[in-house]
Amino acid sequence: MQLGSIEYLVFLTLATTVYFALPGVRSRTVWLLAASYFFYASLSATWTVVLLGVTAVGYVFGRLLATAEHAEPGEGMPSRTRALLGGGIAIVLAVLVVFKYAGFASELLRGALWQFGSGESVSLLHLVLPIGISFWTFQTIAYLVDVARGHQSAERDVLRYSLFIAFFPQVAAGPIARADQLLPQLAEKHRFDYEMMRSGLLLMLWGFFKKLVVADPLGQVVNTVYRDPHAFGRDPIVLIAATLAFSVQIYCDFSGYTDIVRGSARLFGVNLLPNFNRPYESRSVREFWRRWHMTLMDWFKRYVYIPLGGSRVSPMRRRLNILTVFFISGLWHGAGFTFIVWGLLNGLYQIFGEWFAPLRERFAKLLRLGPDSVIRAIAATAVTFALISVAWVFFRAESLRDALYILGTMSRPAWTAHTNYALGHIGLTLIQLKVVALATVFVFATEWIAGRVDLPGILYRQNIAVRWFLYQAGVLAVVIFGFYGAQYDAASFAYFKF
Amino acid sequence: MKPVINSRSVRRLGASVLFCLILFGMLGYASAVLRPTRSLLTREAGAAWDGFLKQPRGSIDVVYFGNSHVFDGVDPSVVWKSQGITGYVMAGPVQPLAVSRHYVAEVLRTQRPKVVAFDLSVLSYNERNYVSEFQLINVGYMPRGLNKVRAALVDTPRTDRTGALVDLWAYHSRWHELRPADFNLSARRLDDAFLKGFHPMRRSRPVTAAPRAVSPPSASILAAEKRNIGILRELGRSCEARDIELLLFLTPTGPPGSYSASLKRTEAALSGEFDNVTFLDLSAPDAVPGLSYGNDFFDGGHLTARGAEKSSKVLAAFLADT
Repeated sequence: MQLGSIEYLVFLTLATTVYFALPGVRSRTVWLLAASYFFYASLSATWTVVLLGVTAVGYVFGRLLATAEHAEPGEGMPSRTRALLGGGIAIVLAVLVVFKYAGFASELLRGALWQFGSGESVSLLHLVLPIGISFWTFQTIAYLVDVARGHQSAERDVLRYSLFIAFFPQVAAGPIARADQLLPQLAEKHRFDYEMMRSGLLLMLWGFFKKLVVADPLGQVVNTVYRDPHAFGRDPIVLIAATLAFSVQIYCDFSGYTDIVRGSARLFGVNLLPNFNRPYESRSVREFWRRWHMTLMDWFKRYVYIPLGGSRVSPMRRRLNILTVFFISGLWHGAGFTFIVWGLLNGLYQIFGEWFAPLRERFAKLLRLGPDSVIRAIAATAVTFALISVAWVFFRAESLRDALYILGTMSRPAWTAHTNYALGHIGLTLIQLKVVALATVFVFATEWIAGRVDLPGILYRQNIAVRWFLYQAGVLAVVIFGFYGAQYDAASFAYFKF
Repeated sequence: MKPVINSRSVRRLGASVLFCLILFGMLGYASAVLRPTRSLLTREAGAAWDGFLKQPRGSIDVVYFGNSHVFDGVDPSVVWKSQGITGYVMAGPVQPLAVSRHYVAEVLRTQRPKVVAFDLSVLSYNERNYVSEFQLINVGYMPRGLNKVRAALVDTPRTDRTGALVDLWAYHSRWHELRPADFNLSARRLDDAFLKGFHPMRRSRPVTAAPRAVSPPSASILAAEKRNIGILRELGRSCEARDIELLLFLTPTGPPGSYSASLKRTEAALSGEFDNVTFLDLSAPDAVPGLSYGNDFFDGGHLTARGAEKSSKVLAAFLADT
């Protein structure tokens, strides 16, 4: 059951209706848990057992950690607690490593042995990745660490804990929930709230618009070009356009997904954490990573960066910490060299960004551009977007060789455009491209405005005719211009594979 | 005490229901605009429901079901002219028996035919004959109702179910092909009911007259036949209960081939079980007098309008006799 399918909408309607028809918290928890496992089984039936296993490990170790001593302020963690925490994390990480990285490791080993003429002896492992494994393993680890640190009490109710891990709107690709944020909401008895319903449905509609009207059609263009970048000659325009299209696609795909799941959760009265805060408006790469996939970056900050010493260490060590975080982030996104390079490149951007900060300041002063200058803000935003887009090349390319070819061609000074050829072979017709371009402008303009005024508030204050017109127009736009159905090979959400 | 349901809640509930009704109305209109018009006049054969539903209730004597062999090979106007038997072709492109049985149920809602006729060249259809695009026509264009839902949920592969049930799923991508005239739904329906589901082909192409070598059927063909004979058995019983004759026939398909052998196996399986089932093989040599392999076919399995005229006269005579 894809998140963007009619089946999902029917399932969601049924799940919500029964949820509010049930009398108490307990029965609702049981119902939501059953619905969540049904949803997960429809995505990844074979590997539901892995989700169950990780849930069991999290629950048992959480209970064990609750009985262990917690660290006093200023002191290290007691050894038994440390051992229990280490054990729990090791098991959860082992599951993640086996499913996600065993194939990559065997490929590396085979490659290494090949040099000595014995690579044939290593057979490649190809395990199917349980959907969302990277998300719910990280959520489990965060829970265990918080319990061990005494920041979170261990959940006694096994059903509620299971729901915390498997809650269906977020089980496939986050947002990664924090126990202190989600568990209390799951323990609450939510009354049917019209405003919450309305805002949830509106958020879902916005998510569907971003995913189906912008991300998936652009994905068609990106897939066509990136599948065989050599097919378009050495034309930088096509490759630059495809790369920019990917920057928009990945944002609209993942933020669209996040809006749909946050909207879905709101129908049950649950608020999930936001994942995006208009990241392409960032004026530095560092700021970008505070506004992109916020729950993951928060996880890295809390459970990797700060334990490594964070910013309270020597400058060199801090830079190493940044690189470590982004190396892990790259590896988390995918087992492959392209992802590692993508992660490290983002780390390096930040390190060089700091190094060059004084130089930038001097340059700005020379041009008499103050910190609040609009020109400076636009230039910084544009440069950040360009840097992030260059990094996305590694994220999207099929191989390192392809990525280097694309970047090399993009930077060629000889601009020999084959626009007419490209338009016929890029995967969308001209009229489709125009609609996608218009929709893209609409999405970014709307979000830019929403960052400055309370757009939903303004909408709700309009009279009923205006509101209904806008809602109906929104649904029709998605239904008619959306990239789904029998004619298309609609893509699943990009982050499902992580 | 505060009432559990206050007037604000009732107002909101009413508004939500009204909102949904308007939304479904808009989606219904969008579906109708975006779904391509099918008309025999523009050479889109099959799923001739628009014309069929215009027929007066209880006015049709024979309904013909099957695949392209039927909509190209049976001309109900010839049958009517030669024997006064009214009829309608309700066949679809590569339409399997499993879907045709839902067509029968839908047809029986408005008509009481004396005979339902099935072309049995579909008997060996299995998964390899499945064409997604055709299934969306055969099931998607059925009138809304339980029979359509059954055809979509029971006899359509999972991947095509939504498209078969929801027109927008299948056809929304046509938005850039729309012209202003497409928005006027009443004006864009072409009145092709006079063709009675028949799809006349004009240009002929000679087919070889040499008899085809009939190889023994493979296990998968026998399995498909067995499944389809099961459906025929079901249909036979249902027709028997309604006092309807079941005619299992073959249109001329060039020199006799595996279809004839398949019809014989079906006859052997069913003839002892039912009194209301008859068999007719028009693909047998000399079954249709004057049929020319040189001029009356447009490919190896399909008749031209002239071939259909000759064949339909024989069919009409058979219907009149039985």
